[in-house]
Amino acid sequence: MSTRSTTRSKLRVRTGLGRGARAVRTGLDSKRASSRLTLPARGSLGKPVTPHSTPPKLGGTPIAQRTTPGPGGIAGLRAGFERWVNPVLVAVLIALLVFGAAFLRTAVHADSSFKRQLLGIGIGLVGLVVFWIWDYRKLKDWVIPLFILDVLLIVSPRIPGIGKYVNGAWSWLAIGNQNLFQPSEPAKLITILLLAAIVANYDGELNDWRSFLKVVGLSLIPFVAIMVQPDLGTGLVFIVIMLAILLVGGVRMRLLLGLIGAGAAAIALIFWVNTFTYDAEKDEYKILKKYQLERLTGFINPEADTKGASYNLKQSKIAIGSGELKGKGLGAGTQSNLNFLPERSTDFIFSVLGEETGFVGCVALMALYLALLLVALSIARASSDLYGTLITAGITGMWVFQILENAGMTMGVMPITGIPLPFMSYGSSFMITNLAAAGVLLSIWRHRPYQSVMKGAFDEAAL
Amino acid sequence: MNQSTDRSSRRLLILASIVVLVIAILVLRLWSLQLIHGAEYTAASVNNRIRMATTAAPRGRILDRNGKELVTNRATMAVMAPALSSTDYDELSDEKKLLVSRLADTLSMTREEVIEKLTTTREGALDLRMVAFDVSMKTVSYITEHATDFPDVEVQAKAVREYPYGSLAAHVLGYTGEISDSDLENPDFAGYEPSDVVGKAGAERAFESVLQGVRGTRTLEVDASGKARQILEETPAESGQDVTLTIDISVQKVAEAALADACKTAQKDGFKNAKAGSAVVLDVTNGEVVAMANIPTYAPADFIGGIPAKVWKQMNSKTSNYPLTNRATMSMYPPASTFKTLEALGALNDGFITAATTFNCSGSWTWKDWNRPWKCWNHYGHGNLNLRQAIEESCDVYFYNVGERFYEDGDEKLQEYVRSLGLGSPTGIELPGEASGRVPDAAWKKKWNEDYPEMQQWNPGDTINMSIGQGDLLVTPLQMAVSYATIANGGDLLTPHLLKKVSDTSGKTVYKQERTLAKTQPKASKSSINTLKTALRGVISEGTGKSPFRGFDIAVAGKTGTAQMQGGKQDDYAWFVGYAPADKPKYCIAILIEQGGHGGSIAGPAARQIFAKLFNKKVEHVNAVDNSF
Repeated sequence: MSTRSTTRSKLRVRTGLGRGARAVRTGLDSKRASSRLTLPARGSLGKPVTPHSTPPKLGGTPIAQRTTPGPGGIAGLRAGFERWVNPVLVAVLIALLVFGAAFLRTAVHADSSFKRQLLGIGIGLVGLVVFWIWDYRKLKDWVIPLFILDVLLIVSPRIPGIGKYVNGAWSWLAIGNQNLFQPSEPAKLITILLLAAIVANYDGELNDWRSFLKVVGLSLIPFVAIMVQPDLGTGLVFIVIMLAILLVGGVRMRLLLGLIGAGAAAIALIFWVNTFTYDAEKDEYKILKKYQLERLTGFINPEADTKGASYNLKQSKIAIGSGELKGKGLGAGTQSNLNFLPERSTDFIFSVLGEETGFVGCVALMALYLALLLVALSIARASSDLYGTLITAGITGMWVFQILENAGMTMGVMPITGIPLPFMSYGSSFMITNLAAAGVLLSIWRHRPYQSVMKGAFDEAAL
Repeated sequence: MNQSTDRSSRRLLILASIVVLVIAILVLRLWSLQLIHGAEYTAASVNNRIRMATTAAPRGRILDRNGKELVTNRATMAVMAPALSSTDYDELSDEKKLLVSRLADTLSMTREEVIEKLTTTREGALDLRMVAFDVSMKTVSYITEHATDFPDVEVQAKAVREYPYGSLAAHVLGYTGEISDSDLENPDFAGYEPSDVVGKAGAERAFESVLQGVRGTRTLEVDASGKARQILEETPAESGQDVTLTIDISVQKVAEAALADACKTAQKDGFKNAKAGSAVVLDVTNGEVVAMANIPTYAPADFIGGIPAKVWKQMNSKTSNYPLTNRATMSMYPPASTFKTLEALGALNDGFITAATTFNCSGSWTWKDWNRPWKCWNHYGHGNLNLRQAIEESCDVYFYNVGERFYEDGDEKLQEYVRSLGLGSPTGIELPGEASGRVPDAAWKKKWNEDYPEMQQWNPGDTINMSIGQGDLLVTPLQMAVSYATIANGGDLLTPHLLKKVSDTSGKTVYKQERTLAKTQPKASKSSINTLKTALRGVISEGTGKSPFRGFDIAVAGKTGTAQMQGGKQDDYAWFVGYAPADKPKYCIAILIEQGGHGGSIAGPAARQIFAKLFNKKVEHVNAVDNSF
């Protein structure tokens, strides 16, 4: 019991600090925040985290114009803009899309690839607008259809005739030789919508292990489905999505830590059991394939062999490192142009960026990512309901993990798996999914308790 | 707001912390890679893409003394293919089998020949080997048009050595080949790279440092597969310098023909094994080697692109009579009677005899009271002879007596003196692999018979055998030419040389070889030299060498010799050493025909032909007789 109370108090201290800091900035203490009605409180919680989300010029606009939204007129447009548009998110998205597309133009040398990527962006933007307009809250009641759609998407590459086996996994839908798309990409977003809906139903009361196991069990179904393909990289993304949603969904810390512990034990067990499945005839293991093991060992000991799995890592590190401060210039990367870098438009695009734009370019991208992720979290706070918060947590988790894994792998801090870099890597399914996710974020933003925010802003201004 | 959503917003802070942490980790890693270790990775990326390649420099030409091209370069199309791992066709992979078969069909070679060319030793395992050169344009275009059928096969323009005179002077010129592993470790070849073409024998080897040009360098940008994308920097190759030899190719040609003619004559006379021989022509005034001929010989062109192991083995077998051996400098023979001249000079010099000293020849000679006599070649005996007569008649008994006096003296002055004439040590000619010859003495015999204590004693018989140029005494034809040239020029022991001059690509002489005296000079008075000159002239005008030079316009002086080999198991070896004109010597010739019989009848006529060429007389075959030894 004493241990438990210590943990609790520690948590309190930590969260108290965070809240204290926020209270200072907002001029609101936590009691006031929690004593308020739900909608205003959320509004005031959301706003301070994104202090620049409102363009400065709005601060100078007469209050009367802002508080009286009417049909038509400049005031109406402004009010509509404020309700619909999260300016930071939109600005970051535009920056990422332009940066990504422009860079891809130099990284991929085939025009057809670039056109396909532009098509992906186009379709993705349509998807973004659709989700933006649509009320995401309707999805909350669609758990079963989402579940079915999710699993169907994941296993669809196994369907004879339309599925395709690429790079050791059933991962593509194709007609003839024409690759259409990778269903595992939209499945990521659907999994987020699904898990968020399941967890949101508990309304932040996921305290008993029975409910917890039930939720985890349901969450693991898409994961198991993707692991059967087998797609370890996407599987890891699913795990991170689940953990992010469970974390923010209010699962008790000890249950969450227990889950992580059990997961670690399971991984250890898999490795151990794997050693017994060695098939001498095929010179291959049954559970974790040799190339997967090699990637893992290559990450741990990159000097072991330079031409095998760790060759890619070595060349990637040389590419990034040789970019130094300012890079070799766009299109002037020798590591990429002379084919030392593998998969330079997809998995290793960050290496090309590092080589050609140097520390300056990489840090600029990191700054954009940081802004994207933090603005997403601010939207989570601004959300009118827990469902929206959890969706945002899932999307943030998905993005942050993909950024960490992709950029980390190119620099030797993460094992090599085939995970692309959001908004940068070549891949239209991936691009469409990420833009659709951004559309969902905008939808959540649009459905935030808007009026109260305006009032809150007014109140704060008055104070 | 209820407790649980409050918990959610707190949990969002954890997520935000994770986000910041992740970005921080990535930025720190970028910092480490790009800013702290950036220079190292830049070096690694440069190392990845930059390759230094070298371009071969044209090798210098080799010219004869009159500027005729003996060795030059020629551009040719060569088919290059990756080396094979096995010489056994059956052990090759299916792809390699197919490639070998296709190359064989296309190049009109057998599969075995292709495999031989692709398994020549040396070079890196990945390097291409030359399968064939002088490939027709038709074949070249067939191969390039069917590139997929010939994986990794390349058609390259190569400069190969060309020999306008074929096998003529092969031993002097030598041949070239890929540098060997042992040469690469040799300090003489510092800076050479594997697959460099270097001189392997003869002048090619001797003047390697001059003939070899300076490789050009190329800085290339390569891609991950090692293919060159562009040339970043280029320094052109510097051509090697031309070497002019002292050889006169027209004399060389006559010398080789004379040897062949001598062998033919010997065979007709019943010496069936007369198949090999050597001739050296020296300019006695300056040590220039005007001709150096050997039979059997070989064609240096056979070595272009590497010699197949089978051919190499054959060339080094006894049945082929070792055609690669430069007998003039590498092979050692007993000098037989040609030695008597040198011995006589020593005896005069050391005061054991005078020009007037006479001995009586009864056809045999006995050491003190021993019961086994040494015979003179003339079993009837020469009667009383002075030195000149003894040399003219090549009387053995006279020189047994001289030998006895040397032995009695006890100081090995005979050995000492003939060593001062250049026997027993290399002459110092530029060619690699020169033999020392052997001047036996007590110390040598003791060492030679290390394991046979009863045979270690230096006996009177050893000196007596040596006094007629037999026993354990061995010389090279070149050594004999040099020692006789010393007499001919009045006493200067010269270092023979093949190099006349070195000139650069513009034709300017950058080095001229001067007359070089040997480090130590023999002691010989003018009068004793003149005594011998008279005697040597007498050999040709009156004595054992008269027959081959009958009716010859030029006054030749010289000495014949007939060497017994292996106790008579082989036919006798025929010697002639002499010079002309007798009164004002210019050229000295030493000729040896292995198992050719008598010096006067076989070697003498060959010398006559060469002298004829040297003095612009009609080169003709003469029949001669000689019974002396």
